[in-house]
Amino acid sequence: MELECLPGLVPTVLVTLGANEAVYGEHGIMLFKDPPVGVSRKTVQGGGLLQTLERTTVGGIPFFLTEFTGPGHVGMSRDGTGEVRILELAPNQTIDVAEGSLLCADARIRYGMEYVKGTHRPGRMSGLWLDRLTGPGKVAVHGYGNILSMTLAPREMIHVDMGGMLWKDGSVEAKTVNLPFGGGLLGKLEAYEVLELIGPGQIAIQSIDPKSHHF
Amino acid sequence: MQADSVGGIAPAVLVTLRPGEKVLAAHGLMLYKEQPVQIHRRTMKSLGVSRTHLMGMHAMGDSDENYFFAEFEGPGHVSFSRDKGGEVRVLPLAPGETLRLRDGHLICFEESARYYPMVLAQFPAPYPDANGQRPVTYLFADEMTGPGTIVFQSYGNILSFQLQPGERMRTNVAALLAAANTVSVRVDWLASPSMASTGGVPLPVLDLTGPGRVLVHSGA
Repeated sequence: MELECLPGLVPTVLVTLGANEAVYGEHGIMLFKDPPVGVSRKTVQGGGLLQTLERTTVGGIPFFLTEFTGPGHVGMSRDGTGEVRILELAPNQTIDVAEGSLLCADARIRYGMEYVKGTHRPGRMSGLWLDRLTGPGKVAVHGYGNILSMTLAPREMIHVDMGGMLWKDGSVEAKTVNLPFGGGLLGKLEAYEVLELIGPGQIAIQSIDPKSHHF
Repeated sequence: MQADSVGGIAPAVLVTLRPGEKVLAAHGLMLYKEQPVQIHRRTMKSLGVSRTHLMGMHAMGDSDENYFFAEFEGPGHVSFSRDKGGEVRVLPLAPGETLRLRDGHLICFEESARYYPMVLAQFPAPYPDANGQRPVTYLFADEMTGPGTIVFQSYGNILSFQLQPGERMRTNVAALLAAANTVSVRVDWLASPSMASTGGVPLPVLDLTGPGRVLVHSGA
């Protein structure tokens, strides 16, 4: 299986599948495919009915994934201005990708979900869900705007805007915190709700919040 | 304060602060910050902007002005993004140098720079509405005066012009990004509103007269 980024303002990932090779992605992001490429549903396992409803309706995790089986080509695009990065995961290497950013992943990659609890403030009180991907295999990720990546040393900490995180290593701890914005009631009401990421591991940040109107 | 533009499609600004250095930005623009960087609220009153002035501007229309800023205090790095495509400019202003920047484009500025929101120009609608009124459109700007570094973002690309004394240029109303305070800004019409009933389509434009710097952006 080959993943190739077709760069541009709105980049596309071109997947070349050999016979019986498979790749999965979110439903609806396929741009084109060769007729021999088969399409099937890949069920997302995890939790009961209520948890499924919560992560699919409140969060941005898909109800199911679409699997494409070769031989042939598939093009996928997130319809957003930005950059595509192709990552190669080693066996048992885990990354957590922000909801709505995964383009596609090798079918050998185990798919799961990671939930980061919110701070119960209006706006992001429900927290956020991440796609947890465990290697081996290749993954394509779409970052809105530009991607800035950095490596955190053990216990090194960084505060990231809630919509800014694109992916992080599984070893990086994530939690939501409120940064008080001055004193008094206004300071609490207007507190910055940010994602606190604690190393060790690599993180990637995108310069556009996908939920903002950036066109 | 050191400010650098990072990235190309939707650039972010990376600000490096020394201990005790401060940078001010609109609430919600932060992309990330290092843990040692402290965050505080900075009221407009502390910047010399009265509440009456701000409320007056908000009463005029869709002013994008803030009631307070977020203040980041070093040491450390903090990054900001406007979540839009375009260009980021880092502009050091000399003492007394003033730039009027259209609202909604300022990213951050050094504490030593003076901030004052203002009305850059205004013009009435060419046609009366159903009530026979001609609502007024206000063009708001952030007046930034040096010394200090300011950082702002355009939508699309920035075209820079330096007008000589008495030199004139015309821009689309939305295309003007910034102008020095020495540039006179006047609203003109490409066709007179009074011609509307005869089929003329009046288009408001900005008539700029130098001397001074003018910045126009392509994705207004």
